[in-house]
Amino acid sequence: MLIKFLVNLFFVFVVFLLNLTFFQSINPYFGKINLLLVVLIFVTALFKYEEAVTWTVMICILSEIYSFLPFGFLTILFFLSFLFIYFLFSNVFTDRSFYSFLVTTILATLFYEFLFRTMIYFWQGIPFLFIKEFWIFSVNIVISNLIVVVLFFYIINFLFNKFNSIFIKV
Amino acid sequence: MFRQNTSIKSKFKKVRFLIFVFLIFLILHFFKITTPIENTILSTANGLKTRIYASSIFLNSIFNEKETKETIDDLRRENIELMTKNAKLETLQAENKVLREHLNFLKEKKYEYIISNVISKNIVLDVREKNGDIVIDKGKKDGVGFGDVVLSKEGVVIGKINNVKDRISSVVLVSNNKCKLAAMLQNGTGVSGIVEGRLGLTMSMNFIPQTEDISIGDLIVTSGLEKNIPKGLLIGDVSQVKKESNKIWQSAVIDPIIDFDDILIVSILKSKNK
Repeated sequence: MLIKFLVNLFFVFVVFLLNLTFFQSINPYFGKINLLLVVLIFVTALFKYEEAVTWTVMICILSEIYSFLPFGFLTILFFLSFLFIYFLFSNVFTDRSFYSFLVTTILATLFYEFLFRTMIYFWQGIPFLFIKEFWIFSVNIVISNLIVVVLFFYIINFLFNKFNSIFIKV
Repeated sequence: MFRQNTSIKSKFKKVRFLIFVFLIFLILHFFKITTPIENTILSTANGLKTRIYASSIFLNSIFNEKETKETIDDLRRENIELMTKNAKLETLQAENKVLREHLNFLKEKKYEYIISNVISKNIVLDVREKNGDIVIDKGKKDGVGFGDVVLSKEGVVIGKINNVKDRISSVVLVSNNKCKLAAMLQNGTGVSGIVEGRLGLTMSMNFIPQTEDISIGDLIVTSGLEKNIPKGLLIGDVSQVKKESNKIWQSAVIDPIIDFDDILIVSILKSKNK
């Protein structure tokens, strides 16, 4: 149990470091990737609920330590995003297919971005909804996340054969 | 019916568990019980983060290779011009040295530096801005304070400290809307004003009287009117002058001298009397 926890902690730490230091600065296109959210989608789909919560908590703790936003800001953001993803996977897209991952990624990314900007709006009054850049930014993030999800899906499917067939059989 | 009830109950239980975990985390943080753990994580990870950040900057430079070649050509040309200017400046510097000795300026050397590594970029809060803040690996415990000015290795102003934690700090870049600096033109007129960031790209200096002469290429330096920020630190150069005859004031667009994407090491300037 402890070994499993430590292994999980190690992987969360690696993902977190990659997201914060590597992807953010390597290139503006890579900087759009929200690796933590993508990982959360896969964790929610693949792991048990309790294990997914553990990952979410660890992601939240690390994010809060490095964040200069008010404490609890990112925790609320990630927890609500996790609940949203969990809801989608347990009630709407239950078949764990390629398409379900793509749609979940689009919805979860938009949910995350919308929630984040709304919270920023209430905290600092920075508008977003009727600003062109917000929509361009969101579309860029969705596309970047989708590319990562496709890569992850193929890699995980190749290694573990965990998901349903990629194309719907007619 | 019974099954449905059980399923709903189980889901409520799961949500309760989630809220419980969140509250525990919140309480532990507010009572600072988690602070030693947080600091340990921060200090352990900072070294690693610096290396990862440096490698990403290196990869970024590969992506921008074409752009870099063009920049090198421009820089070569600029270098020749600068060498000519430098020869003139060296003569002036020698003269200046003598004057400084006379005025005992060196006795007033009351500033000290803290060298720090950039470990990441912060989340961009305003989607209209190009750059977010940068995060450095020195914090309150290393002597960094709110409002301290941050310089590049060349001594150019990068920004100001806008958030400090025990082991890390956040730097708001001069090109960011939130950053304001008391500055002056270094063209002999001594015109001063406030330099503000513009969407993470450039800066602007507003409220300059129409009667003042500003030329493209004029250097902008700190005016020394701000607490803890000494006079004469380079901020940028004028790239555009906005002058309209029907207005009282004119403004200048200022380009940053350095590329904020390539910053790896910075120095934080702090006064001893803090």
